[in-house]
Amino acid sequence: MPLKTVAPEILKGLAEFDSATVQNAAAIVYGGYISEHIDYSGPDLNPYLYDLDGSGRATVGYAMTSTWTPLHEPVPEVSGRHDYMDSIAYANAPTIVVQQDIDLPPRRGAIIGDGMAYQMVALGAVGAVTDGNARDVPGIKKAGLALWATGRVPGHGPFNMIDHGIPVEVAGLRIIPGDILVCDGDGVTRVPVDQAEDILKQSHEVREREGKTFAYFSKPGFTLDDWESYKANGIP
Amino acid sequence: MKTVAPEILEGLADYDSATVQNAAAIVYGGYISEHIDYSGPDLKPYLWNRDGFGKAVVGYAMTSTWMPINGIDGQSQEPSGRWEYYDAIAQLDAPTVVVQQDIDTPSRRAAILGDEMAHQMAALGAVGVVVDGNARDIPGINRAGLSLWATGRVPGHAYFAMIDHSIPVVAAGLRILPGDILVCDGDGFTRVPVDVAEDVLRQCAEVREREGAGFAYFSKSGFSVEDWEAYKADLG
Repeated sequence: MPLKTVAPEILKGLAEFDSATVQNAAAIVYGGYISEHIDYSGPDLNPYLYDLDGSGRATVGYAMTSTWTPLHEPVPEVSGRHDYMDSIAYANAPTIVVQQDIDLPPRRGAIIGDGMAYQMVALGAVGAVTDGNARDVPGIKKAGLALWATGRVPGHGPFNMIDHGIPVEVAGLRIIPGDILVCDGDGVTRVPVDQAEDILKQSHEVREREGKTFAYFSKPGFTLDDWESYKANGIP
Repeated sequence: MKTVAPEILEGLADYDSATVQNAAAIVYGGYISEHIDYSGPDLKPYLWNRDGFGKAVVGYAMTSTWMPINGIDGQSQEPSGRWEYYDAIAQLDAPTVVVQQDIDTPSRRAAILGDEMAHQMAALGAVGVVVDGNARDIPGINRAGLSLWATGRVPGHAYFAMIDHSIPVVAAGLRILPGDILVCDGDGFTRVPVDVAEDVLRQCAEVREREGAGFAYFSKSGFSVEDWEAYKADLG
């Protein structure tokens, strides 16, 4: 299925906001909070490599999903690894590789390392989000790939991709192929493509509103009177 | 304890734990169980790369088991003598990695390593500690000059006893025998049996050369989908 995309400016715009602001904005667009399981990642995701260029911008891209087993010989692969890498290569848009370890037990072996990272970056990936372990983290950094994973280990056993282009679950978040992911030090917020433009617009409004609050509570000599005034009238 | 030439340990320290795991799998003739191969993701690299050179910490495992809450019959005492264990570290004319497993009930609730022990161990020849359990006094352990991997941190312990030493232990899902060579870095640690250490080191050089060629190919500027198609075609 072809990847449904938005204008590149929308992705670039979202990258100017942190994942928390985007989650706030999305809740307004949705008309209220939605389940965390389809909204943002849980706390077992570690931001091993992010803000690689020092700009402070979030990593944003389209989710390219896959499942892997790093310990045991698998059932025959449903679809080939090259098909998966092709989907990254021909997306013609920034992609985020999303991997879920489905071995028994999961999260014991590594499912991403520096060799894969170099390939993924060459083909257009800007980040990897892994429900499972990474290894060779210094090498992944050299490859230029941002990385979120639930853990690190040095090894794996028989190593196979099982499927790709399917819904997966990473750190408690269900991700659909083609979802836009906004990733930073807090984790990952999911942005459905159809609402990306509205969420970007709302992110600007959230930031403006929050900025006024931050300024009010940061003013020098903040007093109890200021606090009482805030409770009575809100931010002036 | 059976040892290898110091050059072999120094050579292994030039490789990361993931490369060593790859090389070992080739020497073994295939992947072996993760339980005897490399550590799991619940191990945290609290203190490593202390000199900034990025080299792995490598040494012979000196194993021990500890109870930091209940001690022995509710007292701090050791049936086989902690000095005997420390003597084994002191008398081995080679770098050692202290490996401690918390076997109390519950395990992993109190600390089994602190800064005082770290100063003693470093003075006697230990270069690192791997703890299946908690450490405390991390800044003090850092000052002692000891590298540290542990499954957690807590501030305290109660009745404190070493139970046994120089026996097989399990740390972060990896079974370790006394005298095993451990290669430890940010990904965790890989176990290298002494008898295959020389072959594993030799294989590490080949793995690094092969991987380096792949990294260079995918890092070249202007990498295109044609380059990707050529890569796949070459693989056949």
